[in-house]
Amino acid sequence: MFKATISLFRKDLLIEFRNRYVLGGIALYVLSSVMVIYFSLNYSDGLKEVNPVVWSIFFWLIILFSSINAIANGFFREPAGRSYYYYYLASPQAVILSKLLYNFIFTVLLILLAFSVFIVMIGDPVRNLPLFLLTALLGGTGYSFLFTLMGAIAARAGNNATLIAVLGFPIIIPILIFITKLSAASMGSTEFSQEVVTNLILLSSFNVMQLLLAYILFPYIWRE
Amino acid sequence: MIHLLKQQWWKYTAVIILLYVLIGGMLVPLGPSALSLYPVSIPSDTSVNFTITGYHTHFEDAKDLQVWFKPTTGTQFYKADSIVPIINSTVRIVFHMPKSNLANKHSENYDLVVNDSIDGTLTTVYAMTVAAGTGESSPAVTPANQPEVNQLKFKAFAFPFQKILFQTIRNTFFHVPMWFAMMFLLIFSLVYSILYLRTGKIEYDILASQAVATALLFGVLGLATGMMWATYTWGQPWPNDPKLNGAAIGVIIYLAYIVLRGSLSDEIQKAKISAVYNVFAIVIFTLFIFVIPRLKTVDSLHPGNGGNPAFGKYDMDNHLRMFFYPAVIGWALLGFWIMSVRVRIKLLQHKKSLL
Amino acid sequence: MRKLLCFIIVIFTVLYTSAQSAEPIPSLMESNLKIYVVVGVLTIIFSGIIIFLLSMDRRLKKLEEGH
Repeated sequence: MFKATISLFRKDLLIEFRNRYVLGGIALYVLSSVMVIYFSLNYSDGLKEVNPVVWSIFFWLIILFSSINAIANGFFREPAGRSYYYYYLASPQAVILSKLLYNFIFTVLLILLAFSVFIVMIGDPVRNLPLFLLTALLGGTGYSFLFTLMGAIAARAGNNATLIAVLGFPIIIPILIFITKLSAASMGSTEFSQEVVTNLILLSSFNVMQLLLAYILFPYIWRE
Repeated sequence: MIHLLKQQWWKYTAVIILLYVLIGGMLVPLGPSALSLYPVSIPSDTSVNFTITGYHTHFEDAKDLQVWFKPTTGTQFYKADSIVPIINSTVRIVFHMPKSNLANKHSENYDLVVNDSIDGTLTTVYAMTVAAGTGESSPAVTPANQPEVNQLKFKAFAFPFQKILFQTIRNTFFHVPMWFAMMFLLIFSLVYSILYLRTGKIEYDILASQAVATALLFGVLGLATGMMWATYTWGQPWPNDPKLNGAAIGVIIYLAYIVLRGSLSDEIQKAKISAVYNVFAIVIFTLFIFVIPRLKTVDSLHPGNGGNPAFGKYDMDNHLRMFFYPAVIGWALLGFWIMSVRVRIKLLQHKKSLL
Repeated sequence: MRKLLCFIIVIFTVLYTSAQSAEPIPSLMESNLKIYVVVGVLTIIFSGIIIFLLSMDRRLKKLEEGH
């Protein structure tokens, strides 16, 4: 199964690189969203001092919308018939693991891209970089796991792109609360306080729960 | 299960329980309380005549009325100088507070403690303020640290009188059970979603989906009644409260479930995918409502400290419990009754579509 | 299911309008130790359940007419 996961993952990667304009599109999506925020803040004098909470809320909302787009594309890209082909080749567990891995890496790259654009345009209030990177890693995991499963569900429901948002947004709220709190904390002080550690543990347990549920439930979506 | 849903006895039980809750919950009076104290601020070193107005009290009938003042931040009790009950709901007292007892403070807040053998101990926090005068202090009085105030409960059969809540304490039997009914129905739907995924019987899917639809009714009713109640007790319909926000998210999650079912046309696919979403959503939702109150951004206004859903911490007394537990059972049974009717309509529809 | 959504919208509009009209006359709801809040809560619950039952009734009627 491990082998199947890796080869499915490589297949996704190949498809991604074959139509590079999709990658460019997502990158441009991030860039232009940051531009929108930059100009709306700049011309209403909101950029004089960067408020950590506002910074992290904007940051994670941009990640939210761009990752939902990217992951939705990943599911709707493949024609319906091809899934039958994979069905004969690999176990559903391998399919979901490769999807999760692929979307996870993609989302983390997206976060790093958005972070560098944010640093350049809006400013870099991060004082505790290890904590911020840890948050980015865990937040990327949460986003990608949730939207992968919701994408799989929505793909079955006639490729309805709004459906991912409708299904995913209420469930993403707990994760969003944790990561905005954590990234705001990474701008406040350089140390790991007790509360930060608790929040990190809670966020990771949310992610583990999502992984388990996705692993257990995906076969039921996959099998026709 | 469907056999049980068609039986009548538990529906009659629901009706009887709900009638008991409705009649008892509305007719049992509120317990005694010291409604008001006048005046509310006095100078030190002066004997002041106070009037205490009570609600459902027995100041005159109980021959052993005692009145104390206690600093809100302290533990000393100061006895009133003279206590003259006028009628059962009015008592006149005389009280003075020497400046030297204020311990160099400009003013101090006092709680009113009224105690008699019929009404028990009635406490009013922040009942009045003593302001330090400019003149010479009269000799200090010695407070009782352990006064003979017995922490009696009132003897009448009544609901506790709580300031701010007043009569709305009866909403405990109507608003709170909405959430219990919703949670019971959601747990029921989770069980049947899992059973559907294991067996693939369409009946199980119908049970799960109709349970969610009925749970949504109770969720929306819980939100609506909660907004009504909050407007007149907390001052705004949507205070920033973790329990309220958690409940609103729950309602949105299950509205999404309905939308998901609506967007799928194939029966089997609809059943399978919505069962997967249901299992996923309820696990995340339960984690969320257990975790969010512990984030400590805001303290919950709801009883149960920090808004955690622990049940034993409700500050309820035995008279409330006599109606609250039946109310939970009664409303939940009514929910299952409505669900059973929906299930039977759906089953009929399904049978017809097979013909 | 569209009926359910309609029902929810109706409930919220009813609530919204009631909250609107409650603003100028707080005296009624605050009077008699706020007993009318309990009356309002019971009204919401029973009207909600009745609207829900009416929608079910309509669905059943459709099913019967199909026979």
